[in-house]
Amino acid sequence: MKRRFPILAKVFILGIGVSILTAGTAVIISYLNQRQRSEETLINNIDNSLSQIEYVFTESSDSSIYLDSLTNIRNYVEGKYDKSVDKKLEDCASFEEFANYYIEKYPWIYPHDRYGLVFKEEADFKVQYYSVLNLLNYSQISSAGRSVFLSFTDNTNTMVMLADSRQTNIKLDHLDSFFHVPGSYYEIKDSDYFIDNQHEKHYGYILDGYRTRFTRIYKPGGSDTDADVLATIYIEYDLTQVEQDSLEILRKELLVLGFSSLALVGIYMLFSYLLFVRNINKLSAVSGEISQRLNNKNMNQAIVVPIRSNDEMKVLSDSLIEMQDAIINYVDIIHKEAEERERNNAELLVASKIQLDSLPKNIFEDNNVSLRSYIKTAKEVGGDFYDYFYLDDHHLVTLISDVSGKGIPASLFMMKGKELIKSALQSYTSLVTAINSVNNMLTKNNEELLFITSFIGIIDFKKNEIRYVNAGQEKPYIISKDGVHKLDGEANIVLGVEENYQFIEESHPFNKDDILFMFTDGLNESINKEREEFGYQRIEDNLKDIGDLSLDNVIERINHSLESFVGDEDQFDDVTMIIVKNKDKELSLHYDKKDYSIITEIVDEFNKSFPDLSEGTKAQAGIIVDETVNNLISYEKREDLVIDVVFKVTSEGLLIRFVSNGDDYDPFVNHQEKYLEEFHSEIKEGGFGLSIIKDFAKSYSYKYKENHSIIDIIIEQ
Amino acid sequence: MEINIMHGEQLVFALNGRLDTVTSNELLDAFAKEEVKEEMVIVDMKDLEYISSAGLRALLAMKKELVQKGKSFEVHNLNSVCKEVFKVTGFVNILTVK
Repeated sequence: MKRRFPILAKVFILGIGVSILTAGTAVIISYLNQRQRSEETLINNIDNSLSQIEYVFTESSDSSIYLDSLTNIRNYVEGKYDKSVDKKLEDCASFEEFANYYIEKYPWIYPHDRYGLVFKEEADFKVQYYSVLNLLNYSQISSAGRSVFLSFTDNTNTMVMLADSRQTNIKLDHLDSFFHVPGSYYEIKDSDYFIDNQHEKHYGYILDGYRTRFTRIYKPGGSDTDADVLATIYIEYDLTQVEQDSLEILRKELLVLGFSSLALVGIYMLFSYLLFVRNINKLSAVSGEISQRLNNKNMNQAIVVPIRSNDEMKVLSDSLIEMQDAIINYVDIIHKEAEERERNNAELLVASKIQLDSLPKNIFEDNNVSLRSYIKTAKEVGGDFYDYFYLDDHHLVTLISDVSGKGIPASLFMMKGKELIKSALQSYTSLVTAINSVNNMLTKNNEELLFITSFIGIIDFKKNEIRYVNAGQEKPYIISKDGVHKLDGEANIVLGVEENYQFIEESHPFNKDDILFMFTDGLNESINKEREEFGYQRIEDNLKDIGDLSLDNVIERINHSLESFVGDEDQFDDVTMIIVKNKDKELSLHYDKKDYSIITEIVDEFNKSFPDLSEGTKAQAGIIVDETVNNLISYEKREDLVIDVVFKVTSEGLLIRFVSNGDDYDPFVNHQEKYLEEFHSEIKEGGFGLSIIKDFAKSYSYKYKENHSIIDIIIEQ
Repeated sequence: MEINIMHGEQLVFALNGRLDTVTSNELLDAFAKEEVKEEMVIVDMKDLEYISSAGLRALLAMKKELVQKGKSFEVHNLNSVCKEVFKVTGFVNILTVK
């Protein structure tokens, strides 16, 4: 997540930035002005002093005396100075060494206790020199310059020192410049010149690191040319002092400006808070509350947005209010839609139930036939349907269909198709005529272009054959003594797309004990995670070796195989199966309660179904049922015991088959031993029962197959 | 199963229907309720369809109780299936069959 950077922090940083920029500019300008002013003041003072000193030499009443002194001094030094005495100050470790060098080289100077290095001359000359020195000293004080000194420049552009104001009252070890030594010289370099842009007329040298201003004193009666210059008076001044003073002022200004800037930033922040931050916080509190109410599904009342300002914040607040109203409206609509959807779902469930209720029950038994059906819809209202009904006492219609599409439309079309087929088959004597008629009726007014794939078969229990029309439906399987094979034939077209199509009817033997297995494509086209189809081979495999299994077990077996194949994948199509067995005088009974009372029910059903059997056979069968079922219930621990009993008259005799989901326990093994033991203890049961069974039975067998124990007992008919 | 009980010289239980797992308790209940004053008790199987091992057990229980009281017990009018059952289980040797 990006770090939060609040508005107030941004305002603070912005304010500080702007303050630094403006205050900084102001201070720099102020500093420059200040500096310039100070420099000008200094230079004015210096220029005044220069004018005064020039006045003394040229125009005052004593000018002739001073000019005379200056002439003498210059002439004296000019005559004495020696360019071979060329040790420079920078070559010496100290000024003292430098001074001593000159004292040694120039025997005409000596260190005076008050005037520094001066001339060893007669008194008059000394007086003249000292008066000039005093004049320079005075000028230095009045100009506030660093020093005032006097020199002349010889024809080789070498500046030769005459006198320096600093010579007065300065001890030798305090001297710090070559200027303090009369007769010392300095060769002026071009880089020493400077032009002051502000004061073009006054230019000077940078000497010894300091600036100088100067004025020229001309020889008496000479012209104002370089050649007639008697001496030049320099005033040396120090700009660093000016800078230091200006910086001091700058510091004070900065302090004041800093404080006022901070105050200004504070005011900005306060206004930012009042104008933006406070209102934004209120708005976000409101929108937070809206979110919470939406989460709690409690958004049915508008929240007051407490903004009183009249600026853009108000616009934002108004749009939040509008948004709230829109949300409340929307929530209301969603509520209504949800209610509607719930109602629709409930109606769909009812429709689904009506549809499933319209299908005949999934177990049917009579003397001719055993029939089981299975349907699992993919959506609430599916497109698959099946039907079976008798046309007369030995013609049973059995059909399986799939309507294109899903949901309510497919369901309505299915109801229509189902009723049309039934009434057509009941009206017409010929199967194919009935189907042609159904097709024509479905094709008319079929705006939605729905269609039905259907396999319609009529089983004739006298001829033991099935006549059928396959309208584009999956081919059923026939399971007979010869094995499992598809009921091949003409596929025809689907019902409801082509008027006046002539369907082709076919027939196939359907003998006693033969089984017909019909299914919709939802079965073979079920896919697993790898997108493989369940396919026909798996169906065929499940239909093999079902001789001993009840029809329920076959459906169970296929379903089990389908479920383990499909895994967690969603079912995308209806799965429908019908399995029909042409019964060879057979009674199948199915019980899923562990209760001795079923014995009575079984024997009663059996007596009703086989009225033609002899009393002796019926009595034996009754005893066998009692002994076997009693055994199964007494010795089986599981509570969800399921028992199937089949009675069937075969060429060998009456077969009684008990199929249960109980433990694998063979009641016929070790019987003799048990029997004897029980006989002797007289009262135990079980052993007696089995000896009775063995006595009655023509043959008996036990096997355990696919989690079911199967007991077959055949008695003489 | 119907049970008709007749008192007289002998106490007779005339059975009609099937004497099996479900009904054998009915016979035992009926027997338990009766006060046996007679010296002999007879189970008449003339109208009985068949008897199973559970029925045999009931008869055996009746006989045990009567023998303890010094009374006799007989089974009469067995049909062929019942006779076969008695024979194969050895009950012909345990009970007096007429």
